[in-house]
Amino acid sequence: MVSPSDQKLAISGIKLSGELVQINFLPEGEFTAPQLFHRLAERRVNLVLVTLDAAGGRLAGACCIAADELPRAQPVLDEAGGSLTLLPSVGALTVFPHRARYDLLESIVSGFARENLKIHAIASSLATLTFITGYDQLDEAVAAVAAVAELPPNHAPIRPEFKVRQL
Amino acid sequence: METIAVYWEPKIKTYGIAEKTGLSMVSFYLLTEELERGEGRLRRAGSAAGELLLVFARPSAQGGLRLHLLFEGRPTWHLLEEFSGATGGGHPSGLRVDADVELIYFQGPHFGDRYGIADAAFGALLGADIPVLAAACTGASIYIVLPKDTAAAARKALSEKFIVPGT
Repeated sequence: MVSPSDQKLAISGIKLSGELVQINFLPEGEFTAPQLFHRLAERRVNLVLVTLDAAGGRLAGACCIAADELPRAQPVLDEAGGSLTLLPSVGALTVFPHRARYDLLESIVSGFARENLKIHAIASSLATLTFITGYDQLDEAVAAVAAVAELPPNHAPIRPEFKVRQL
Repeated sequence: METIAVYWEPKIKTYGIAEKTGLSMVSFYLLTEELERGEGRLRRAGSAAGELLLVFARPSAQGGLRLHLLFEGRPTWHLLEEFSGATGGGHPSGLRVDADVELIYFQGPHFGDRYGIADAAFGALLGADIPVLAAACTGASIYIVLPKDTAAAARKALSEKFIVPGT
């Protein structure tokens, strides 16, 4: 299946992240989500992606940080102990534009499943739709998206060539 | 290559804070197995899905994802019937509908590269006792789902930490 109408959906491009670490946190964890964000901010750790929902009055969810920032985050993660789980080598694949298209979401999720590609998290904006998958599976994920979406001729995914880091 | 940037702002700049009201958030478990069979609820829902604003997901304890879809208005009964359908393996769908929710969203310069943005946003809401139902942050965008009649108060709370042009 390509889409409900069996036509490829046009997108302008795909952007890939560098290597990330995903931190999954439970509502009954040592820290609340805002406390975890505060502690990571104190250690100057940037959150590349966040997804949260209220479960039982507290927030559960996941966030991703750059793999090379893990040493700065580690003391906070150690303090949280077993209430957090880490996925150590993940990457973000972002397609644009999203334009809040339901069929684009459905096609890509199904395409990932057909290729046995794990989706660890999803976050969208009005402009983009981002999937977190295995870092070493990003090329396969690009192929899975290309199978269901129409890309411009000679398109190549945007890969990170430089990184901006805040002091 | 790494570019190091130094930001210091007494208040964090934004490009503006926007609100939407009268939304519905539909949440359910999405298991990998049902997608692999190519008959998942996302596909069956198809064109009934209506006006999708936002999608985000985190890993669920059941395996797969806890998926959240934010729609304009109220979802149709047909759509909810599709989403509440069997997940396979006897797992409950975990369908939940939060009606009349509100969304507040904003962007700012290099938000995706800077630490402390999520801390400032969620800390401001926590400090004003404004409950957060869900959130998705990716790139330079922050989207926060709130209960009915709280977006205006959230905007005021966020304006303590963020510069809102035109106010």
